[in-house]
Parts: sequence; structure tokens; C-alpha cells
Amino acid sequence: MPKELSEAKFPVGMTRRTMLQQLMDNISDNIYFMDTSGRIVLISRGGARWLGFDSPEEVIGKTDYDLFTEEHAAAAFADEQRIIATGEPMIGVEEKETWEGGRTTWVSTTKMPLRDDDGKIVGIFGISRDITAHKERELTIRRLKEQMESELHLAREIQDSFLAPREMFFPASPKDSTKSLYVVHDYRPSGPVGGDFYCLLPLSSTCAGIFIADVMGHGVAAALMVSALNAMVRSEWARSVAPPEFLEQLNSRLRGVVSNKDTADFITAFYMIVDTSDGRIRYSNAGHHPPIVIRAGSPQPSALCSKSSIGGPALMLFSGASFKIGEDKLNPGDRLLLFTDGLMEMPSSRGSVEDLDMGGLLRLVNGLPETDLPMLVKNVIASVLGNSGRDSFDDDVCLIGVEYRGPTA
Amino acid sequence: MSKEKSDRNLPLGLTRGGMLSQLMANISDNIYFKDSEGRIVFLNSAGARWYGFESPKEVIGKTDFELFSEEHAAAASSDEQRIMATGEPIIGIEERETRRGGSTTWASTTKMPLRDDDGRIVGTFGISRDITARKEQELTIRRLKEQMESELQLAREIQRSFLEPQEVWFPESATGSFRSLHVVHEYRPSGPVGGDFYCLLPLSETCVGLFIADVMGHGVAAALMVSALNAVVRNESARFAAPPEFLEKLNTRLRSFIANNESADFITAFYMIVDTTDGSVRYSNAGHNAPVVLRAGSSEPRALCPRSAIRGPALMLFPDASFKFGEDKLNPGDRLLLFTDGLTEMPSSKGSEEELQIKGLLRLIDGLSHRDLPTLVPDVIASVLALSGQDSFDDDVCLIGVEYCSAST
Repeated sequence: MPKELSEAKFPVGMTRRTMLQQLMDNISDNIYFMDTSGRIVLISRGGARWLGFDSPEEVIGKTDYDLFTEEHAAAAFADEQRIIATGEPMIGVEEKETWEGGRTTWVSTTKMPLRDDDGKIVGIFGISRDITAHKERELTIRRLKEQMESELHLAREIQDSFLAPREMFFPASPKDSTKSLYVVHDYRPSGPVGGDFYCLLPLSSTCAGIFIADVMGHGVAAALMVSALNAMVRSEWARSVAPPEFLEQLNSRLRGVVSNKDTADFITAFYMIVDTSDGRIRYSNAGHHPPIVIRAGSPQPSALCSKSSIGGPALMLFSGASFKIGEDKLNPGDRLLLFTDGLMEMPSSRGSVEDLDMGGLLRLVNGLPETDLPMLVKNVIASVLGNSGRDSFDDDVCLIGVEYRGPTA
Repeated sequence: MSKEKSDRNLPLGLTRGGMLSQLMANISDNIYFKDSEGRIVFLNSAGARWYGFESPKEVIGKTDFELFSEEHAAAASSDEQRIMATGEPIIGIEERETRRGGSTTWASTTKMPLRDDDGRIVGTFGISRDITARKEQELTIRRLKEQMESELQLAREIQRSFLEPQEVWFPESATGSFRSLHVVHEYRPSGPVGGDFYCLLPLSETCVGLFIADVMGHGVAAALMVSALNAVVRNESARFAAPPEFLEKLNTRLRSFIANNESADFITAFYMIVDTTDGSVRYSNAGHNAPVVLRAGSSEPRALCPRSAIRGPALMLFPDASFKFGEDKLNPGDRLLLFTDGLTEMPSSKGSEEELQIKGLLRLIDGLSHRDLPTLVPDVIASVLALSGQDSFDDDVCLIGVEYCSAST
């Protein structure tokens, strides 16, 4: 017998043997010993009570089959036989127990091989603890989480249906020999639904509107505003107005849908009309980052406009907000990158606390190899992630690549 | 010593003492006995490893204050003092343990009073099981659930901001006897956000539009469609159209937002224009339940347009849906109740499979018709719930009470 089990008296005036007897008599856990055929040979009083008996003696000689449903007993018996065969214990396994009569409980179970003095396995022993109350709470939380997740995934499908296809041409008709505008986007909400929005609005046979917006915050609340935005910009009024008026009207319409004006929400947005007959662009900016322009033949990318010269206030902040107009011209082969600030709100280098700024983003874009538009969009996302040392973005990200391929034929 | 405590040989060729000593030597749980001052007097091998020692000998005599952080030791010690003072055990609590070095683990712990042969409490004993892996998983799920919940609460605020105040008058600025229309609503989404929508559209000094809609399903996906609906009905030129044209335009617009027209979503809606100069109403119905009308002086409530002839298809189902026109006249004191089907799809009695339906609702309103509007609306909600024997609705519910008080001048 090892020293620790000697009968020496302890400071409490009890022997180890009496202490262990107290353990077996008083602990609420089920401590049990079984022979190789699954018969209980020794059990704590708490174990006997757990099994529905008054005293341990009544349980001695019984097997799981005498106590549980056939199905549960068979599973437990198989576990025990495996422990006996392999000597491998089961530690802290949570099990659902189904009792005769259909009642269910949860236990945390540890089962070990029981060896005789020669080390031969002669049965198993274990300790099981009732964890029903904890487990049911945990399962409720898990169920609620899963319900919300499936609800959010359904919402994602709705939101996906608002978005334009990943790759689009303008004019859209497949009969056109020259596709004048080529548009590719990458939309990455940080959760199931996002607060970024983008759309391409055909305005006439030669003019197209390109709109990008970023609702403050993210998640479901932002997605509700995206849904409202989508409904508004696809309405008739939006087809016939110049960029400043587009943003002014959108601002007052957005303010109109929210009856409680105290919400501090705002939306940054950039709207641009491209006349594909000559590549002329007109744009207005509501607190959004200006697009990056990459001119054909000139490798150096630059911001289309400075944020301060053309920039107006973000949408929803002020009633009667007004916006300036900016103008430029695209030549065949010129490309634009429009994006939301999730792209820039990434560390400027691995582990840095500073965000990437416009200069940093331009440097990254400048370093990319010359490729087609879909690859360019992909590479920009990958290089921002690579540069930050992260696997994913913290905020919603939307990046749109636009390529002007010359006047419509 | 009773028979069960004897050291007689059990069938396995092991004595009871031999089995218990195996339990102490091999079980992965921490089994410990402490004296009245919290000093460990007896401990198993796993217990020693639990505290970071090789053998139980090294731990004997130590207290929690030498093994855990001050904070955890103080809490555990006060638990033990309470157990000794009251004799009440602590059963299966889940607690976080902070080691002296700062590492934390989670344990499921049962602690009992330790009694000497005379039944006097001389210390405590207990079994602790390491549940760190399981607990961390559970906490992650809990955190995700809480994140989603707070996200949905934010969304709820946004959605609330889309709704009218609970009680409004038309004309809005009128006072006293110049107030022509009184409108009271109850909005009860089944979750944080809902798929029901209602709004009041002032069309002129004397005409007002009342719109109620119910998006198929509920939850976030439905709330996204409500957000789109809100944006459309408050902005479109359709707002000034007659009811059939209003619903036709709305149908086309809603279909246009969804790039993927195959989604099987639909929205039932009812739109009504009230001319407050003479109480004439014009309405169209897109698959919605007809409002209930309560005439002044006649106690019998009935459906405004019982004939299915006026009812057109739900919105979003068909590209060129057309709607018919219904007309009626309100006299001062007449009241209308508009509602979504969450109200009529409640059980008609406690535990019943049968739904309340319009017939049941009419009967119920009949019993409440003498109440004034601000009381009638919440009372209808309360009575439907009381009748069903439920605490809350299964689906989103919106109920709007309208009273034509007097002709506007």
C-alpha cells in the first residue's frame, strides 16, 4: 500500500480510510466500480441515489441494462468494453442519459480501467457528475445562437440579391461589339450582412451612373440602411439628375425615411456619371474616399480628386446639404478603383497601430503587376491583407474596378 | 464498521480499500480533503498535478492562498467557511480558477463538509474536474450570441425610427375639433426586428394615405424588405397615385430591387386613401386581410370589404399584377382596424389547433367596441393573447386603429 494511504492520523483526527469512506458516503457524485461484464461492484451513496435507489447495496450487481434504456446502456457498455480492451480512459465526456420512462439528464463522465495487483484490467471505475442544469442552459444559448445565425444567413441571401453581378458590362446588351465599360467588384461584409453598397445605374444608351456608399457601423442595423439606399437609388428620380443633385436628393430622402432624426447615423457616398461616348466623367462626393485612377500607359496611380476640394458632408448629417461637382476625362484603357474605408482601416504594416492611408494604398497599388481588371481587384484586396499581416478585414469592404474601353460602337 | 465498509474481497480480487486507492491514484479529477483552516490534509495524484506539483506530499499542508491568486483563494476560502458553518454543500458549480502565475482554468466543483466519527464538522472535501476546454467553447458561443443580440438591438432602433409615433393625428398641426383623423398603432415584432410595416402618408391638406404591409416570414430578412418598403412608399411619385396604381407601382419597384427575381418572397399589403372632408375612402388590396370597420352607433363590427373581388395578388409575385378599387364612406365616429395576419393566426383558444381567423377576431372586437381608440387597440392585442393562452405572438403583429373624428374644413 502506498504511503499516502497509510492509516496515519491526520490533523483532522481522521484516517485516510475514514476520509475515503466519507467520500463514498456523502459526495453527491456517482463514483462507481464495475467488473468486466459491466456489473456494479462498488458505488457511492450519491451514485445509488442518482440511479434511483436508497442504498448502494441495492445497486450492487446491476448493469447499465438494468438502469437505462437499451440504447443508452448499449452505448455505455461499448465504451466500457473499449476501455477494458485498450486501457485508454474516457476523460470528462458529456453524455446525455435517457432513462426508462423517457426522462433525460446530462452527466460529465470520467471512466478509467480498474487493475488488479498484477496490473491486469479487471473492470472499470469512474466518476459521473450531474450537469443537467448547466447543460440545458448551454444548449438553450447554443440554440438561440444558431437561430440567429440562420436568420442572418437568410438576410444575407436577401442582401446578395440587391447586389449587381460580380462582373458587368455597360451597355449590358450582349449584341454590342464594343463593351464600353467593364466593372468588377469584390464585396466582403465583415459578418453575414454588411453596410457597404454599390450599384451600376444605366442612365441612357451611353451614360452610366456608378454609386458606392458605406453606412456607418456594420451588421444588421447598417444592412437595413443599405436596403433603404438600394430602394432609393434604383428609383426613377435617380436616373435623370447630375451628381450633386443626386447626392442632395438622396440626403433629404434618407433623412425623410427616418422619423426619429436623433440617430447619429451617417452614410459616406460617391456618385459618378460616365459618358461612354467620350470618356467624360462627372462626380460628387459625400464624405467618401476619392477613387484611385490608373491611367493607361502611366503606371503611377493617383487619387481622382482630393477629398477636400470636391468632398461634401456625409449623407444624413445635415438637412439641405449641398455638393460640388468634379469633372475629368477617361481615355481608353484608363481604370478607376472605388472602395469603402474598410480597405484603408487596416494596419499600415504588420502589427502597426497606424491605419493604411491614401499614400500607402497608392503605393500598394503601384507595386502590383499589370493584369486584367478582375485580377487587379483581387490583387488589391490580397496586397492590403498581406501588407497588414491579417487574414481578413475588420470592417465591411467593397472594392470596385472600372475600366473604360473606349466609346460605344 | 458496517458490512459495506468492510475490507472483504470483492469479486474482482480487489479489496474495497484497493479500489479506492486506485481511484485516488488514477482518476483525473482533483479529490482533496482540507482541515478547518483550509490546509490540504489528503489529496490524490491528479490533485497534486492540478496544483502544479509532482506528488501529493508536496501539497499537504498548503492552503488555497499558496496555490491560487489572492482573489480566487479568498472566494474559495469563504465558500469553505460557509460549508463548515452551515453544513450545506456546494454541488457542481462551475468556477474560474486563477493560479498564482496568472493562468486560468475552469473547474466543475463539488465541496462537502468533512465530519469526524462524532459527526462534528472538522473540514471540507471535494472533487473538482477540469472543464476548461468545454467551458471556453461555451463562452465563445455565448459571446457570439450576445454580439448578435446587441447587433439586433441596434437594428431594432433603426427599424423603430422608420415607424410613426404610437399615436398621431391628421392634420398633424390641427388641434381640438380641427383634428379629423386619429391613428393609434401597436407594433409587436416576434423578435428584435420584424417584417410588418405601417405608415401614414399625408397627401394633401385633407387627404391621407394609410398603408399596412406584411413581409412573408419574419426576422432580419423580412426587416430588410421592410426597410426597402419604407424607402419606396415615402419617396416614390406613386405616393400620390390612386390606390390600385400605388400598389401596381410598388409591385414593380419591389421586383426591380431584387436582381434575382426567383426569390419566392412576397408581401401582402393594403392601401387606403381617406378624404377627411367627407369621410370617403378608396382602397386596394394586395393579398392582405380586409380591415375591420366599427360604425358609430352600430355595435356589430364587420370586414370593410368582405368580397374577395377587391383582393389582388400579394406584391412581388407577378411582374404586371393589377389591382381593383374599393370605395366606402366613413361617418364621424366610425373606426377602422387594420392588422397583419400574426393577429388572426393565433390559437382561437388555449392549446387549440384552430386559428382565431377573421370570424373570431370580429367576435372579440365586438366585446370591446365601446372602448375609446387608445384603449381599444392595446385591448384587442391583450384579448387575443388572453384567448390564446400565450404570453406572446408567434409571428410579427401590427394593429392600427383609425377613427374618423370629424370632417376637416
